[in-house]
Amino acid sequence: MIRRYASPKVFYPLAGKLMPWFGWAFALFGIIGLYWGLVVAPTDAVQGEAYRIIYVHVPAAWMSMMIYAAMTVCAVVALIWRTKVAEYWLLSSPALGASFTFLALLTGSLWGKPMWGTWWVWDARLTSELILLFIYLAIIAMKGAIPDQRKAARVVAMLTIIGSVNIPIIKFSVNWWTTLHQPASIMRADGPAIHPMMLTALLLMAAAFTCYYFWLVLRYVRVAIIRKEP
Amino acid sequence: MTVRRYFSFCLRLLFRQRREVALPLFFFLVVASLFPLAFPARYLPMLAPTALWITALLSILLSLNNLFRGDVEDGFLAQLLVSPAPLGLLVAVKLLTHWMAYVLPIFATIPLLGLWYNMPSGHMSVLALSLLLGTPSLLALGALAAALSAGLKQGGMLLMLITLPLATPILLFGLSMTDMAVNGLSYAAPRDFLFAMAVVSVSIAPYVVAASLRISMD
Amino acid sequence: MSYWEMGGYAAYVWPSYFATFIVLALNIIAAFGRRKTGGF
Repeated sequence: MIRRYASPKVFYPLAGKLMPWFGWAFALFGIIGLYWGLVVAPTDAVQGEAYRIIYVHVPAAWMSMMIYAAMTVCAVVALIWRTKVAEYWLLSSPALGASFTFLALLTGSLWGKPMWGTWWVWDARLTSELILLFIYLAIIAMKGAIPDQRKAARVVAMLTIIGSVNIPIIKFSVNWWTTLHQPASIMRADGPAIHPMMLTALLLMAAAFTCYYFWLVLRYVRVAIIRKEP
Repeated sequence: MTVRRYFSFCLRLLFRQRREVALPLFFFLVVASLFPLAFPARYLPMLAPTALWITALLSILLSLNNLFRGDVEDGFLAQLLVSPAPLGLLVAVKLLTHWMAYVLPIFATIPLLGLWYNMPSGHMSVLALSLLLGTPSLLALGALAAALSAGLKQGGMLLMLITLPLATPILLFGLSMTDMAVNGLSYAAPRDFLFAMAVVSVSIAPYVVAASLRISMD
Repeated sequence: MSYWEMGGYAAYVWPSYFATFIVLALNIIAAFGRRKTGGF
């Protein structure tokens, strides 16, 4: 049954129907999430108002990982079954993934300044996120260097899979390295326990960003189908 | 072409191009000499593992430019792709000879580096061991990137940009191994990680490189 | 008092949301724009 939807002819109208749902869901979750995070959620006992950065920082970081996971799935499907829709989806994602990774780093840096007095620190999380950004940029560079889009998709697919095997190892090794060199973890992003109101706002923003990703990726895939399919 | 003949073929080819093969080694020595030149002497023992590891990494990446370029240009790679010999084994042989030609000579310079960086020989041997264990994985990763970027314009730059972030774990384990030895701690854990990564790289990478070559050469 | 101190620590919050908004908007423009060149 899934095979049917793998055909661009079938996927195109399906994506067309789903797109507005994701678009509006993004807007809805976004507005409610912003209100929840900025107004409803209580002031943090330790960090005051500045902690509210987490309502964009954490979901952005989640998206940076989730998009890479989605890319990995597409990569496997594209390499094994040569599914065109998977190829289009794969090639449409790294720019969005890189954007969220960049946002996670930028907002993390803006959060770090008031919290720990420094714009940057080489702790495990930020370092891993920076390396992830480099990997996304390498994928984008690779994609841009190959004119034939089908070949580009397969090269990018292989690169994505190699990266996905590597990323857990990278996180592990960076964690290892920073615990050798720093007495205690500096970033306590979640604190001892997260207030349910805060968690709700986080989940709302995460839902918003996820819908945003699907909304735009479906748009990119549809454009690709129009351009490439006769 | 049988695997054994390919092995001696690769070695002969590398030997015939020994002037070119020597260039990355030359690069390694020149860059490795810049750090002790530029830093005050008291920082050198702390600096040595990082400087030498990163310089080795860059030198290996530079050497990888030559890994497939010649074969792509003269059509030999296209021949290999259609030959009945198992491509994975051929790639393994090529990587082995590449490592022998480009990486092994680095170990001959270890005593000289110890002198430049004021490092006692005990620490230098741990550093050398970390490089011995780590360079196969570095080479495997770089070869993957080289295979994917084979035949592309700007392939050399792409190769570096792809490999460097992915090489982070190898770098960090190699550094922590030397670091811990210098501080008198047991360096068994990072050593074992490096060894495990080397075993996995050496056994799996040739096949993934072969698959990547098929994809990029199509 | 520097700019950052004036708004209190909360002064770091609005640039974060602003940057998020800009990045999201740029991606929307990229996805829906009608440039002939440039792939997806």
